[in-house]
Amino acid sequence: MKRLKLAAPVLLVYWAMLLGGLGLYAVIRMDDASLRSLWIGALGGTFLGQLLALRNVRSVVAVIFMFLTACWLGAVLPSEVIDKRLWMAFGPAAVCGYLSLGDRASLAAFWFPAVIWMLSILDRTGAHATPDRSGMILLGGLAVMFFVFMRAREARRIRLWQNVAVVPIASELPAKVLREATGWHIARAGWTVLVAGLAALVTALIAPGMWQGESFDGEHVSISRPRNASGRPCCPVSYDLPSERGRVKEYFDMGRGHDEIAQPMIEGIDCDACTGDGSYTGTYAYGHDNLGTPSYVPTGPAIDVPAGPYHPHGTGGGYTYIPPSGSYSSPGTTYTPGYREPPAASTTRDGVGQQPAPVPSAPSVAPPSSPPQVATAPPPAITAPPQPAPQPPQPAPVDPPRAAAIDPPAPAPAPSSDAPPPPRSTASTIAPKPTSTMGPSLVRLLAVLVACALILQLIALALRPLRRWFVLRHLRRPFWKETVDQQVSNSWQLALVGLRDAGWRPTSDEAPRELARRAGIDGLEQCATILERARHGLGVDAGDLAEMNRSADVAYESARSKLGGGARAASWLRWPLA
Amino acid sequence: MPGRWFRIASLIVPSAIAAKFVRADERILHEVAPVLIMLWILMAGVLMMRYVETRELRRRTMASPWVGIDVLTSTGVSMLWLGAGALLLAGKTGWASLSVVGILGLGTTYLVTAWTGLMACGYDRWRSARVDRAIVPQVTTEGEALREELKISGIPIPAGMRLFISGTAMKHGVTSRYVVGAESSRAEVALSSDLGPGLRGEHDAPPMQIWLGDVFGITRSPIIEGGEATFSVLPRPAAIENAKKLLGSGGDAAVASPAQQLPSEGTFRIREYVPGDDTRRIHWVRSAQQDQLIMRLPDEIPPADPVVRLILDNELPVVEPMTSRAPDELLDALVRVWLGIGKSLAAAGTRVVLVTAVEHNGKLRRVERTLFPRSAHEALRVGMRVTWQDQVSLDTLTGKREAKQMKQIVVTGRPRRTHHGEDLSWVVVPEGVWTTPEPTLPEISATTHPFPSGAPENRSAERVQERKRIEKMWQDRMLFTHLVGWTDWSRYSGHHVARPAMGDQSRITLGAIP
Repeated sequence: MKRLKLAAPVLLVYWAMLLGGLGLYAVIRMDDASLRSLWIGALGGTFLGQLLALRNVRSVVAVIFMFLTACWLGAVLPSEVIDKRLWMAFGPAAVCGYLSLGDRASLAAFWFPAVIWMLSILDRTGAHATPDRSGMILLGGLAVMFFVFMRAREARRIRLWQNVAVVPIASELPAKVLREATGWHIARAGWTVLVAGLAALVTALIAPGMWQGESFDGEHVSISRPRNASGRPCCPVSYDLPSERGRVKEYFDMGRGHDEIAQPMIEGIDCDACTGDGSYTGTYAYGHDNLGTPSYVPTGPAIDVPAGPYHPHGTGGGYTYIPPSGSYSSPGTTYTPGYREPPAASTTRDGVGQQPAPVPSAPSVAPPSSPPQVATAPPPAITAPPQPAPQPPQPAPVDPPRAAAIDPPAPAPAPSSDAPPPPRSTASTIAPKPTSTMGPSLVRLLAVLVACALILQLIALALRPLRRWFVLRHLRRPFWKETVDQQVSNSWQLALVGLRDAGWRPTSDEAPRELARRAGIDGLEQCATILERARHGLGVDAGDLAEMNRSADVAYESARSKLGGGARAASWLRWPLA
Repeated sequence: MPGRWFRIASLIVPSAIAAKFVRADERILHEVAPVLIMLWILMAGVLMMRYVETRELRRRTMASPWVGIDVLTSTGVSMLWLGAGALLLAGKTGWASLSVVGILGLGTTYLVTAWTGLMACGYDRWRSARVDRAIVPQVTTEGEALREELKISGIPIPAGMRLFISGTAMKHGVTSRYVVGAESSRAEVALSSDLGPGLRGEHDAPPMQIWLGDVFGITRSPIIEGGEATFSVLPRPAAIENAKKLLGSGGDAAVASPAQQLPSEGTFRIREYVPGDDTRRIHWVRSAQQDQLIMRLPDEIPPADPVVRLILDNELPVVEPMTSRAPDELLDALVRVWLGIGKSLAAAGTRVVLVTAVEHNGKLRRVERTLFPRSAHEALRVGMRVTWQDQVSLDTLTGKREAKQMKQIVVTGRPRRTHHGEDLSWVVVPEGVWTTPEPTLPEISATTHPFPSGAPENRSAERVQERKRIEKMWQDRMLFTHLVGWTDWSRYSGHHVARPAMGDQSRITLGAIP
């Protein structure tokens, strides 16, 4: 039991870190049922490791026991729970739980809770991106938890040092502070805040610089064609392209990074825009991650392309479907198909009759749910316009189309030197559509709660001078009627307040006159004499009461006269008063 | 000092390894390294400053200059090595958590070490410090509880640090350990702890070790010493049963035979006072008349009033450096028996002269004190100062010319031949009865640690050191047993051996050696 009592603070902090990280990630990914094995592995492993440490089991024996327990769990747990993630969590959790009560392995013990927290911090972080604001806050919070954990461990080590040794240890009696230095508490609190904040800031700033990205193939997604800056239709309305996911590397491969499109077709290189009037060649100037929508820069005159419906090919580029002419009312939001009356006997430059364009089919993108966003604007989204029902093409009044389908044209001629060549390896990004707003709002809620707690503390601190004024006023001149003995006691309390301001602290077994002798403050001896007379039931008359009041005032002023301005100001913020 | 060199090397080596072998990604070099390098430079600069300062003060403090930079604890050393390892692994595996752990470990250690070097090291900060130590009561009797009271004042404890104090008051006593937080910086604090029963002797408690440590346990300041104290523990004479038989049978000398006198008859014998006479028999009227002390002799023939020289044999070489507790335990028992016999004989009317060898004016010499029943304090003080010595032999203690006329009783742990062996009466205090066995070697369990997890005593180096300490104690014990051992019981047949009565060491019974 004593062993448990000594270890309690460390266990508390460690479990708070672990449960906090798991809970946060569970809220972020509420819909993910695969987290169950993570929870079981993390909690079960930590419990086992710490239990073995509390029983003082040697490390080799502990590892063997962990292995046997894992084998047993593999036999008894239901199959839907048993997966790679369970064992990936169980092993490190057990080892780190064991090390959390170890001698010199605090940093190693901290690794597993850090892994759990990193799942939330890195959620929706791109492979080459830094975490968003909520991620940075969580990273700073992780650093603060590290310091709390280190402090708890050191406190336990000190208690062990004072109680456990190979030589007999003397039993220590409670310490007594006889006189303290004034104004020290503020400096101490400031140091704690400074160091914790500094380290949190340093970690939040430089840790992301070391993270490495990894990428892996994602599913095919459909995206809409980026808006043409000129407003004129371009080639295919929608692309069916494979997406590539990028995220920061971590122990658990369950993070959701940013989706990137492999290689959309480049206007003027992989395809040409075709309309009833012709097609446009040009280049798309794609930006980097999350930058503005690409703009279409036509580079050449229209070329003759037979009108007709075309469908884009798979991933190889080219298209067999010609989008109708039309315009986008705003970047990437809705597409309003245009309509043109087919000319009676129109001859275009290329001799191709115009066709009223069918509404393009542009299935909307179904992005995965977004990470919790606190206050960042989502990157420019390229959302597909809604899918209107396709209309059968109107037959050309003049000439039937020469070809119902057309093979994709040859690779477009080299784009004009005026337009910047699009980087082929640069992909546009799909901004994830948030399916749940719990993530960002949770962090916001936590931040609000912390802010409220801080504000309450500040209010309580600000009210202390007022409280002190009222108490001192009552001690000097009671607000209500009190007995003589109580008034004597009040005066003594007033003197003690002055002594406490000067740093003098009476001990529990110290008589008032002993305190007066020790402190050597004017007026205190007189106060102590009258007080002891009152306490022993001897008569205290009006003269004694007046003398007591006067001496208490003198003692109060005399004790505070030795203080500097700062200490005097700090004394107004101190509570309790004596 | 291999440990010290390893700790100092840990300030440099892990960081150098991390800097050398972490993947030389341009982004990392540009974003991460400069911050950690800056922190390392700050730490190194502060420690270099302390090294130079300690070197300049070497003549005054007699301390090695490396003491100034030996600030890492074992936790700090492990933080640096594990942090560097985490960074290396982060480069290999790419796991973000490892990079966070590595940066936290290294960054925190650099910061805290720099803080400790700046705020906690240096001898100037201890100038205003006062450590007053007292063992109360300062003069007490063997077996009474002692309390250590420490009063510290004016010690600046920087924010984020704690003050540690440790010390031992008696050679085989308990160790006291104190911790004071930064909230008591420059405050006047009273610390105390129970030291348990006092051990006989005049004690000069060695100074306490004082140092500062940070709240994370990563660093500590160099140790300084202060707070000596002196206190005295007087011996507690044991109650001796049947001490009278040490004087021999004596016929019917113990029986007074009153003379048959008629009322008008009687003797009135007076004589001059002789030192040692019972002062109650001084005839004051006659003394005033004759201007000298006149004794009135009783009518009855008093029993014989012998003078007994009670000698404590404390001659034993090679004992001082022994780590075993047995020599001190045996000497304490010898003193208890010696004083107990003296007290018992004096109470019965015998004049007892206590004889032993103690340090007097810086020199070991034979000391004789007459034991008065109502003023035994002087004898107790002599008994308190008795220690093992090898300069005054037993022959010197027993060889006084006038002593040859007196009865001499030797209280010893090892009876042996002397020049006056035939005239001596021996009271043997056997070592095996009056000493406790040494602690046994710690049992090493294959499955569990002997101490709670996290205790430094579980480390293998500590366990080995503890084992060696106990083995040394047993070796010293064996040597001591050989030194005080004696086997020729038959030679001392008729003499006496002192044993605790019914297992109570405060009551002693004297048995005859068969």
